Amino acid sequence: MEGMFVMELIIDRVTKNYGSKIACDRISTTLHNGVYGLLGANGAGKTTLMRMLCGLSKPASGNISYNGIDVSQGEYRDILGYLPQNFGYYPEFTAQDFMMYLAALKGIPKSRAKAKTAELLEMVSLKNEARKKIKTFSGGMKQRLGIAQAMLNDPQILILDEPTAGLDPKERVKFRNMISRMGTDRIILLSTHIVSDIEHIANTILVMKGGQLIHEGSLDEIISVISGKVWECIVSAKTADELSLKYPIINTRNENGGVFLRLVSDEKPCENAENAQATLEDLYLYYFNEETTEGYAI
Amino acid sequence: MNLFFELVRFELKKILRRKRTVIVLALVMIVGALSVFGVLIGASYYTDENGAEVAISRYEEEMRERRNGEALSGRILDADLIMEAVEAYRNVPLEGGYYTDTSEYRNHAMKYSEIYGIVRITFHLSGVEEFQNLTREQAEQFDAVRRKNMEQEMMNGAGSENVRRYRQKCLNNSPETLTYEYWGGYYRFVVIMFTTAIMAGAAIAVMISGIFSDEYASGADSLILSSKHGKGLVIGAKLFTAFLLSAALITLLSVISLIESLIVWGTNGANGSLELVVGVFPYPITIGQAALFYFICMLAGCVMFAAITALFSSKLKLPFNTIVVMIALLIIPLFISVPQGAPAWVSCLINLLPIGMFTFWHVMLEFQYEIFGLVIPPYIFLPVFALIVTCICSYFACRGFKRHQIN
Repeated sequence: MEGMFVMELIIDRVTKNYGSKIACDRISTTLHNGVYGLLGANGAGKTTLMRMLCGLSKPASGNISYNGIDVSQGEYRDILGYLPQNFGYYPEFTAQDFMMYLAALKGIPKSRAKAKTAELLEMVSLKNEARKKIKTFSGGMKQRLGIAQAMLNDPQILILDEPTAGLDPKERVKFRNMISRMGTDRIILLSTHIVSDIEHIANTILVMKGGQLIHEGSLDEIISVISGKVWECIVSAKTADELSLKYPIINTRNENGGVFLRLVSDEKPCENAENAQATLEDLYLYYFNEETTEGYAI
Repeated sequence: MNLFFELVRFELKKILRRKRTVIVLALVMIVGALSVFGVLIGASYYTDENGAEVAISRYEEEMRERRNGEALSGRILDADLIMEAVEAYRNVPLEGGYYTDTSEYRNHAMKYSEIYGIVRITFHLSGVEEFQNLTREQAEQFDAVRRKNMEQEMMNGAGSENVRRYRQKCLNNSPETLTYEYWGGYYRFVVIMFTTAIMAGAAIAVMISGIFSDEYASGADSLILSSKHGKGLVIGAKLFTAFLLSAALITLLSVISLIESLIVWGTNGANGSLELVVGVFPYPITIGQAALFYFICMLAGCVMFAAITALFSSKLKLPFNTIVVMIALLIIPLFISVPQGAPAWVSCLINLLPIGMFTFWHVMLEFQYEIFGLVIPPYIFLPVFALIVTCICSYFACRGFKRHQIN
């Protein structure tokens, strides 16, 4: 870290409520250079937190600032890159038009914007589609375009809400590698339901539940919470049904005339159960088993 | 500055590539360009000397009226001209049917129909019969009666001392004698532009309704508002685009209508006195200047209308809601009629609505506005008022988008 520009995004007791529903409850943390993965079930408050970090939604209380600059200031937006969960595009615009428009919004001079657009469209494999109208794009192509626009201004803070949704496995791997490389000299915060993406690229994982930040740490630190609580066993179909009702099941398959189960439990779930190495998806299920699993993918 | 115009270019692209914009603009341009010719379609009928019904095309009729009017243009409206008209009208039989359907009217009197109109109003004549009986002595009193009427009408309802003084000044500036000018080209322009300006207003509502709310509806707002210029320059670019489009639309429609009207009905009348125009206050300007002021009022009215649309667009989440509100604002005042004897401020207030700025007879209305002792005629006050409303609406539209929360 010596000689490196210190970045500090301070989230200080940030609360946001919609009527009586509290979306974010006194969240406090400080983000430095690196990739942060935000994990949580639907409704945990991830998107609300990200919107507040982008100055799109005003906190009911608390402050967010980057190196002393408040999020509401233009100076902050100048160093921000944001990919919303469902971003709006202009169907009649070509990919090139869209990028040039966003570049103008970000205050990038036309000549530099052209070069940057070409570079980023190539990076997200949309070079050949630059002159095509966005309305002809597939979901994955639109998502890649969204990723490209977020990086137009070479942001110091990059906030990505569900960036890998709609990407095929090859694109996901490419995206993960790109984010890992970029994370050295900027703050990247990404949320996704695809746990393996976070597992691969995040230096720090933030776990949100019910609007609160319940865990923050490296993958190993986070997983240590459920260390010794992940079990594997082969049981009869009847026992498997009973265990499914009692514990969060991570994996199930028919094997050797019985049913193989991988589950999370505080105590040994059955006689022949054996302890297994915990992963992030085990942790996800451990925390969010009782919450909605809509859109959840491993 | 380059960046600002780059943003304006993109805003124009967004608006002009929307299907609803393309459809509504095409409709307004086609109807606006063709409405002048609507007057020329069809035929009129009259009975000739032999009692047979004769058809004459509207175009032929209008051209005849133009020739007649132009032939009289430049003549002083004195006893000689009035008696010439009276003599011509004496040929018209009044028994049975409409006198305008007779060949005598067409052959002799039609040429003087505008002179008849002015004299009839001046002497408060009940109809053609009284005109036929007008004496030379009466005709010689035309200017005196006209000035007396003006004095009475102008001072009638004049409020404060300042307004009285202003009206007296207008009276003093009015010419002693009236010179007749045929102003058919300008007349058609101001008549046609009323409906054309309403259509332009509707088109502006459709075009501008989405300037902010389309961003909310599509979800592009989060990209815009999280960008460097998303809460500043781009809002200015959006508003500038709205005003530019509105101004361009009404200017284009006005230029087309004016050129078409002047080609068909001639360019005569620009220097004519406003006293020749029935139903307007005789402000000390010519008909040509009045047409120009009318255009400025329409232009300002359209820009004001665009600013109000932008304001609603920044507040309402769907463009459709904005369109409904703006069309209502445009159309409903058409059905409001000011009762006879209502205080002047009622008319003054209604005139401040966009529809007031789209109506020539309202722009030249007899009610002046008085601000801090300064009396301002409507054709000057309305554009100034529109400019002020535009600034206020722009400020609140800007604030509305800036403060928009994405929840």
